[in-house]
Amino acid sequence: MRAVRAWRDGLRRRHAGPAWAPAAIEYGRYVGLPLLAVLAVLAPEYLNAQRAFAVILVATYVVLRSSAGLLGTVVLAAMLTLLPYYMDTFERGLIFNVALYSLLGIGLNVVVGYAGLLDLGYVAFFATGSYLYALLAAPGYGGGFDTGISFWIVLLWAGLLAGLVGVALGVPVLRLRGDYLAIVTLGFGEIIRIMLNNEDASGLIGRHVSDHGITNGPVGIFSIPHPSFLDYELRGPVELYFVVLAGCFLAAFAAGRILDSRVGRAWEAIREDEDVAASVGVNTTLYKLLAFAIGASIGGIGGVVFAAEQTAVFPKNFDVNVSINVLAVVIIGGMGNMRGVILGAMLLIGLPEVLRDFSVDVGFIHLDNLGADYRLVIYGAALVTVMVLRPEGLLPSRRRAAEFQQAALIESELAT
Amino acid sequence: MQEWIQLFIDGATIGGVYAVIALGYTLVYGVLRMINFAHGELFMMGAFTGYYTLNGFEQHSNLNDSAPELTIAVAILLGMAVAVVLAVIMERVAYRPLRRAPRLAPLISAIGVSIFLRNVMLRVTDAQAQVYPRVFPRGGFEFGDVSLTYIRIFLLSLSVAFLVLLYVFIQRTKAGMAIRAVAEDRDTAALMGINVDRTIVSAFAAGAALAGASGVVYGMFVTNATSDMGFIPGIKAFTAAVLGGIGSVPGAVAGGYFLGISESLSTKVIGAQYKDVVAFVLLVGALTLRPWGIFGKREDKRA
Repeated sequence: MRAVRAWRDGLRRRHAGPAWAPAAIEYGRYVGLPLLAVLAVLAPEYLNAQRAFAVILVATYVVLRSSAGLLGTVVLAAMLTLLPYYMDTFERGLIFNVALYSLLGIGLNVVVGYAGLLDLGYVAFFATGSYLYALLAAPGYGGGFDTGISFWIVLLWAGLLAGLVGVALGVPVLRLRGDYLAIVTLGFGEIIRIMLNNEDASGLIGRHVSDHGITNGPVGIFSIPHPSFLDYELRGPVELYFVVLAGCFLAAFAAGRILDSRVGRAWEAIREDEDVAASVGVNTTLYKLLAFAIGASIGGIGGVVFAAEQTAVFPKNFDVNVSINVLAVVIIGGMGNMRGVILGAMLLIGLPEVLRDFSVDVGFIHLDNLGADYRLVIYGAALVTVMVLRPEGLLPSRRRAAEFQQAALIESELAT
Repeated sequence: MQEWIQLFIDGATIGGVYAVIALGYTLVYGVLRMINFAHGELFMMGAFTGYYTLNGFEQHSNLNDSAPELTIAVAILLGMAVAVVLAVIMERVAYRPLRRAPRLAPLISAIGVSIFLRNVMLRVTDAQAQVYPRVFPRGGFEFGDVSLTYIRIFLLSLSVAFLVLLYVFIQRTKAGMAIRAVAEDRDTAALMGINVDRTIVSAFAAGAALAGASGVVYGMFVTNATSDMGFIPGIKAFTAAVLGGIGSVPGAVAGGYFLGISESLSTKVIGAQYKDVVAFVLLVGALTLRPWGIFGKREDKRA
């Protein structure tokens, strides 16, 4: 009994706010999830997808949570690579999406988690990459220019172009803080979508390419060819999943290395207090633009793979919900932490798909198709809940957790 | 020439709506230094309340035909009430716990509320636009090519009425003075005996009442209600508030009308589909060149 009380007091000391919130998380971590894993394995009457997903989630979480850095990463890599072979078609499409959003989350994490710039228009970079590949690779009847450019080269170019777009979007918002930055970036994302949708976009630029303008308007661009690797055509979600997976690891590795460098320290300084950082000589302009550029590049690369997998792009694919999804993945998963982003992607993208047909019947409340229809409702509620109860996210980096808890600690000290 | 006049009138109409919504943003920003991302959704909820009210009257009585003034008045009042209740709950659940948290937290919380409300209504309406019953008398005035329908006049004048009402509230009532005090210096206001929490709630409520009422009338004006009808107007109203100087009541008004009219007039120049772009461009321009807006004052940076 004393041990339980001591544990609870320790929680209360370390986390401000109601004690039952971190207690619930700790309970979940040490009791709930293992229980779920055991149940999932011993009770095979669960649907295949749900069971597999639950086991994967648990195993991944356990691995991510451990501090065995290199070993953990290798085990994780092995698990993730073998994953598709245990899954059916539906699940394969699912893990592609999860992996894609992980990649996007890693990119946005650089902007939001590392540099502390709240970007709500991330879809703009994603769209840049997608449309670049679509325009270059699709045949004329699909709306593209039918150059024979290889997928891999476009990847590089998309990274560069998206990075430039990131800088272009970053320059006007350099002086803005928090709330304004969010709305302006949101506006940028919307502008990109509107311009993609409008067939007269080419008229504005002054060139007339076809009846539908450059971007083909709402009709979209289709028949995008599959990429090929050493004469092997990569079609379908699985092969491209591996591409995305490789991209995730590369991006995570790169971002992690950058974080440990001067740039990362500059970002941390800017995130904590931009004015003080500037006053001690940190070139805030350079590092903020760098954050935008890197995040945007990753987004653009994700866009290219998305276009390749879908073989068609429509402006509708790039609306504000994408930005919000990626933001939710980063925030709820854990800001500033790669592992948190991956967990966030699994929870927010994977789980709703798995629970697609899940129904709830409580008293007079009858909700069908929880995953499909109510996904965004739950997202919204989840965002609020996470912010109020655990603003650093589910798997935060220790730094961010400390930052948030410190703010709460100051408040509680001021109150007494 | 006629066309310009028509566009001007259209612009002033929507500008009035923007101004009323912008006031809500500005009030909340004044007392909390925070942008209530979900404010546009209060507007949307007001519109839906109006729809359900008028629809209810339509289906269960003939008051819509015999006493439209009554049904419309009830709809507006209910719209205000619902918006106020939602705003109070919002403040209590999503914003108050985060009052001293780092800036990112209440912002994301607000985004979450916005997503939540929008998608709840999306589910409730099954993604179908809800069409209002015809309550307002049709017809209007015609001056050559310029048309001025009755509903448009109603919307125009109601917006002005709301603005005046709010001005009186802020300047002449005790609650309004409390809001002004908390907006200027929260701690000193507390020292002066003002209940800061209650004042913040009243600021939320006032802004919400305006947004909700405006939503009802706007819904009648465009004759339908959809779950995302508050999203873009919300962003534009925020732009208006920034243009006029966030935190400044006359600024919100000026910004609202300025944005509405510019937007409307610009459609003649660059085409209707780019209307939304105008607002964003103005926003970026304003924030880059003159972030404190028309009526604001330079805010000092604090280290």
